[in-house]
Amino acid sequence: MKFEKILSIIFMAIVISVFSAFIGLFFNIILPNNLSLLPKKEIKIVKQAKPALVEKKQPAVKVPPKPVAAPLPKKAPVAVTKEVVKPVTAETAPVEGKKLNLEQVKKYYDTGKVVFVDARPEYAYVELHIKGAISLSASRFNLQFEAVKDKLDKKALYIIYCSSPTCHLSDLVAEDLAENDFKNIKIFTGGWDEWREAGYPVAGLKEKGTVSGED
Amino acid sequence: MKINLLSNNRVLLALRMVMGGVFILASVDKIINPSMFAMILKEYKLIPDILVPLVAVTLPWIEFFTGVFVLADIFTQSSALIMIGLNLVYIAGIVINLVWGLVHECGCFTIFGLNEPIGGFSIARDIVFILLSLPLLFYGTNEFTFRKKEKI
Repeated sequence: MKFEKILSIIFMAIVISVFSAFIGLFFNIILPNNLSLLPKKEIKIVKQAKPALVEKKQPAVKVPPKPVAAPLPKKAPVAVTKEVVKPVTAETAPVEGKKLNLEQVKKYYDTGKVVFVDARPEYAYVELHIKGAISLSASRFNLQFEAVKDKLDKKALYIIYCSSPTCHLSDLVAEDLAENDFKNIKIFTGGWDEWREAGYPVAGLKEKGTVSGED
Repeated sequence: MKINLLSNNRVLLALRMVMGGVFILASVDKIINPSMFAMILKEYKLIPDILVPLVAVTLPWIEFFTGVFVLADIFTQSSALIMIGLNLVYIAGIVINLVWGLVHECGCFTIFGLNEPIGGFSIARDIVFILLSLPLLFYGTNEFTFRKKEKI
């Protein structure tokens, strides 16, 4: 291969990469669940959410259960569940339907007897998650499930969530749980993004003592 | 007479179909779910947090367009070069994380529910992709020509 030919191949590779990157940036602007490229915006959302958490906590009498995976040390392979409170079944729950919206999920949350399952990667779970949730990530379901399965009640109601409505990891975890004879499974379609934006209780390494500390 | 199998047009066509398809399929879910992909990128701990969103937004599109170009036989050699480069970076990222003892989601193929943790399989698969891309780099074309339809 001639030197000029090699140069032209490399040059075109750079052009294609830059072209694709610009298309990606443009697409991100029009995408409904787009990603903020500025980290400051992310911090702003968290700060706005915090006062809401305090306000909403005052009238709340019922405290959510603690069926919780302890926060992972940075290099721990599997999130470990401390304890699981016996939750309500789907029959006694306040709302019906397999897919749940934010309002319905909050009603379940307020009963304090539902197990929330975080289907996102463990790293995201350790950083922040719905307060009281356990981590069963889609990719490492088998490993994590083995560690917690003895503490999980198969008759309990499980609400699985992912990051956003387009994220399908909660469906994968729901299938895995169903294969393990868990019958009462519901999916929170809005997922983590909606929950956080609503300012509802969260826990994790990035949530230091604003609500009630780590679960 | 010595025949080079790898430069055979039919073999190259098959390789283009495979690699183009693989890269397009790998990119689609990341394009639709940039926040999910950003979370997985963060898990690798190789990119500064401030750059993660930028990479999460642009990288899937680079995968997508290289796949499309290879399928369409446009700038195939350059696209194959990008494919090889990306796979080398992926392998390096996976190996470094495994050495650090970090096992997490690969983020390679989340479409069709294919969602596995990083490990030997991910590395082997990327090596295969590199091997499949090499003939396209060496024997493919790097031209962009429109063929006129012949009038009867």
